[in-house]
Amino acid sequence: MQKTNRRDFLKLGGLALAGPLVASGVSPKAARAEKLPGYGLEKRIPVNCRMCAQKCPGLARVIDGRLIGIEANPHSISPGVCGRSVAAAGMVYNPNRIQTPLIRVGERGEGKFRRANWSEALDLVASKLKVYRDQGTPEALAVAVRFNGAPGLDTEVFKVYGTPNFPGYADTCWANSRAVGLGAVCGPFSKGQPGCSPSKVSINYAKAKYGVLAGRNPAGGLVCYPWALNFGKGKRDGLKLTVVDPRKPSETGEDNVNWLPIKPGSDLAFMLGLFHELMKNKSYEPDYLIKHTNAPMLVDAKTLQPAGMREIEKDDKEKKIKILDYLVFDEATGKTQFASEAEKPALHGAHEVLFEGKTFTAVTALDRIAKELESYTPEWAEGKSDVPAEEIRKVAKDLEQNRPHAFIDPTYRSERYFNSFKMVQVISMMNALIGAFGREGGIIWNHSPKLGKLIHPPKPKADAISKHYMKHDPNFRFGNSKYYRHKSVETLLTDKPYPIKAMVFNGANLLGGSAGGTEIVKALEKLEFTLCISPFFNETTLYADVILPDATFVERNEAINAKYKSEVPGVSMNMKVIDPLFDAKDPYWISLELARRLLTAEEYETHFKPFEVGGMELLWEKQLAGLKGVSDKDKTKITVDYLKQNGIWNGTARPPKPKAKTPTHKLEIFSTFLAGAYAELEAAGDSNSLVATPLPVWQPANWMTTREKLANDEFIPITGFAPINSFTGQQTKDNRLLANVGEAISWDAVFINKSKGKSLGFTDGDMVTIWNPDNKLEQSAKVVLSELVHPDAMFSYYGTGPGAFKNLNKFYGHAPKTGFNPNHSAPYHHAPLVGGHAAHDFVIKMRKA
Amino acid sequence: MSIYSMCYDSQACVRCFTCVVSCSVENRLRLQRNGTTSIETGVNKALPQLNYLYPIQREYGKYPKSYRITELHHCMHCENAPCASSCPSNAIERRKGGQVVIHQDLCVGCRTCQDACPFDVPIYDQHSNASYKCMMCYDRVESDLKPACVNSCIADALISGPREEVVAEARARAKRYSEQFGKEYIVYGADKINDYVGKAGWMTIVSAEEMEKYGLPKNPMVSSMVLRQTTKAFGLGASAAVALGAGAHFLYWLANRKDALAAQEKEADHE
Repeated sequence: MQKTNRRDFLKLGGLALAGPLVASGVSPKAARAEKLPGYGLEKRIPVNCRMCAQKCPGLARVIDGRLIGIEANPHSISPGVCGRSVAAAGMVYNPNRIQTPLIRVGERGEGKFRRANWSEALDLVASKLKVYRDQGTPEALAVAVRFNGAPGLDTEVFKVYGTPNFPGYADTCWANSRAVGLGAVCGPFSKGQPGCSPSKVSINYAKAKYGVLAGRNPAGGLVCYPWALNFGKGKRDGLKLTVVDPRKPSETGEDNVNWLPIKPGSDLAFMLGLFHELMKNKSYEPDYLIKHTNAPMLVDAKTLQPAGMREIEKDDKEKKIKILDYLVFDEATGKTQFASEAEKPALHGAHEVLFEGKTFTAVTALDRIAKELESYTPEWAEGKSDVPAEEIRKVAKDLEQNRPHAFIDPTYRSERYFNSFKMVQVISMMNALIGAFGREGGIIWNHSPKLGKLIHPPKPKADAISKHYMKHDPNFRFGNSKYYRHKSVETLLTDKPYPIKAMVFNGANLLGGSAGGTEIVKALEKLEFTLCISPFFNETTLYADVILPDATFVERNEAINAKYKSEVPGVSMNMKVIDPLFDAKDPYWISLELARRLLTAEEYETHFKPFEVGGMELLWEKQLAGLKGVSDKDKTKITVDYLKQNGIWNGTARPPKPKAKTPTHKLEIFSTFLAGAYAELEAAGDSNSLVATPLPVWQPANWMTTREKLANDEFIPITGFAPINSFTGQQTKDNRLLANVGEAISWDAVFINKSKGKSLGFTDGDMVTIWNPDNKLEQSAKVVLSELVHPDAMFSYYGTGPGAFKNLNKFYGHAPKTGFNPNHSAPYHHAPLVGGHAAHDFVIKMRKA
Repeated sequence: MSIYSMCYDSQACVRCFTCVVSCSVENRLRLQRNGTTSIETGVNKALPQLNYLYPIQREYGKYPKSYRITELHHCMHCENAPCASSCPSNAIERRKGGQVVIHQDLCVGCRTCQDACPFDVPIYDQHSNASYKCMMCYDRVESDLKPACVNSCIADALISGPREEVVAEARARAKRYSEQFGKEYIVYGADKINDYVGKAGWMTIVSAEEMEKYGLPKNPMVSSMVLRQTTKAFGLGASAAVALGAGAHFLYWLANRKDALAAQEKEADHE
């Protein structure tokens, strides 16, 4: 290697590149007006970063054939990558990575493997998985996909194989409380079910004047491209924040932010007290409510049913669509009328309604909500949440002063407590009240173009297990048909609706990421066969029969990505930077090899031969050929060459509009979906009717129903993301560059309230043992006595320690050897109605180790 | 070439530590470039002396009226660089752009710079017997790039460039924050802090009442080093005075000696 010391280097001077040099050998275009920085010796290759799950576009720096790190792509509308991305070399060049295929030799969980070559490992996998297909029950195989490396091909192998079961991860994240709670108010609906995932709407932090963050930390749960840069801009431009959190985070502000410590699981109470104040102060624009929401909708005060509904047709972009029309009182005519025909719908009042032969008194939805809120005074909220009533009133004032360029964040990772769904519903209703939807600085619709597909697998014969649960399980009625990884454990244990006998985990960590370690271990031990496809070790790999190391995102070309949680459309490219290290293999190759072995020759010929012949270029061409959601002019611009040169194409955001994708096409401050579910559940005598009510009502967290207050050695385990870690991923925690920072911020510790800790005889830095009295697992961690934590809470950074599965320490070099993961000790339970894993909703005990 | 300066905006910063990681990666790249160790080895080593930028977190107040301050610890690139002026082997250079740089190949490992620095900056590495600190990526700057940390900041909380521009931008931000928060925000180091350090090449936008908690003292000074400096200066003067005095005495003695010799000769003639 040629040596160049610092002084000699300066003599070489800097060479500005005419444009990014890319590995494919396409010659650089003529010099652009903007000078791209370059030492003259560097290549820059576009990648979609996968240090966390979100694929921020960036440029990988390569010098002397080595990946140095990733930096911002100046072509991106939101140019910037975080510390994890910068530390990519620490992921790639880590000898602790999985280097070769591994075959288990000890018991599942021991973490004893032997090295194998690819053909032996692939043949073994095929021989085990073919069995179910041959028996005519391909649905006995479930494939959990998360950090998968060959989109467009890998899942398709198993779709052609014929299983319907692809349990997605998000019932441990947002798919239940957040998606349904927010979707019920603004939509969109899919197959009659509300589902507002984080892909659908964004908070317009960059333009907001004031915001309430409860259960959301946009820079701790750091993702640059879709929101963190916007959040930073908002902060710089004067965004004022109130942070409601049992632990005070640093990322939202330290000496300049309003922190309201709160009892864990009582955010719903705070929100109800806040809603009470907003309603009392009339913090809304009547015009907005009348025009964009169903606040004037007449409802039966007792049954909560809309007084009268009908279906009408409406013109929507050259199509005719059906929407629900509802009765209102028209002040112009003095009569009850359908909203579509009313001139001046009343926001208030009780009115006589004659509908379908029946006469009764109905009230406006707004009034009915206001009535329900009467008892939820800030004083009541203080009693339940420990947030002082005057602080709640202050927040209401701040929202009043700053609306509509203000928001209450509807959260992201919402599956924490049994009452999280209700909390998100109430938050969403408030956002509708203050007019945040469709406004600058409020909640705006995202815009993701859709890409074409290369493979079109046939539909599976059997139904996915999620369908059964949605129909028959009262606590999965509002569950998600796509995201049910946590729920699938129940099938593994009970064999209902039918047995799942084998699982493939493609970049998915069930045991680390899902609550209920004891039950999940039982389920993993019960499976006939387990396969993990992953470059990295994690809890689930301890229970694998075979592990196949796929190459990391910098070691492979990958399908183009257009799915971003952003109002600005983007289409982004990931190209191979360096060859895979050790014996890791391109996941597209792995997919072809699995397809060759699992499927018939005919199926392979039809679905996979084209990729075998045409490679990534073919996949990319097909993706762009099928591009939808951009103008025809833009479509001709977005070519494979354009993406190779620039890394990303961005369009422009549409101006925000208060559009709702609900059955009524209005923001449903009074959800018709919930009203319908409420009626059904009431009629069936189902206790979940209280959870389904469209009204804002209090429900306790599960732990609150088990005791009046916590004993002195008891805590509620809460988590938040560290901006340098990524869930339980080895790529970040076993990364020397990131561990250097992690050690400086005690990322392996549990943080408890200082006074409470002292009363337990702890000192800062003591080793403590932590356990859930309901099961046998024990975890240990260093304890930090902190003034920033509510006495009921025990805070830990999510996913940094090995938790109860200390065998992981055999595989890691830089990661912390101790640390707490609540999922391991959590009970295996489901939040009522929505089915999320309620990861914080239990009690743990702590003692000195 | 004008003075090149930097500024850290403690209000805009989201404590994501991208800057910290970026600095550590850039330093490993430098090790690869000068042939010490390639990236794949460097990224698996802790190399604490190359953590030019690192966080120190401290808590203040009592629950629930409590908060944390994360100090982003770094070199101030002082105008009067006491480390440079006290270095006995002239290993610390203040470059034309104002960056204060320790050249490890000239460093003898005496750690006087550690003694002299009031901000606790230079880190000593036993293995290489040298001290290390931030060099404001002068190699990048002199190649028309921004320092690694500035280049990587996702919140625009690190700015750099010609000093006048940076000071102007920083003052504008500080003014805005003062209005927004109803308390005074200052630009630490834009003006002379004291005689010991002078101005700072790396400034900070910070709330005046919190600045000490961010590692920015009102009067940064190492009094023992001031004594050494005074003694050195005094000693220099004193040695000069001694030399002058000795010289003067010698001339006086010489003059006396001439007289004495002349007197002796006269006596000899009379005999």
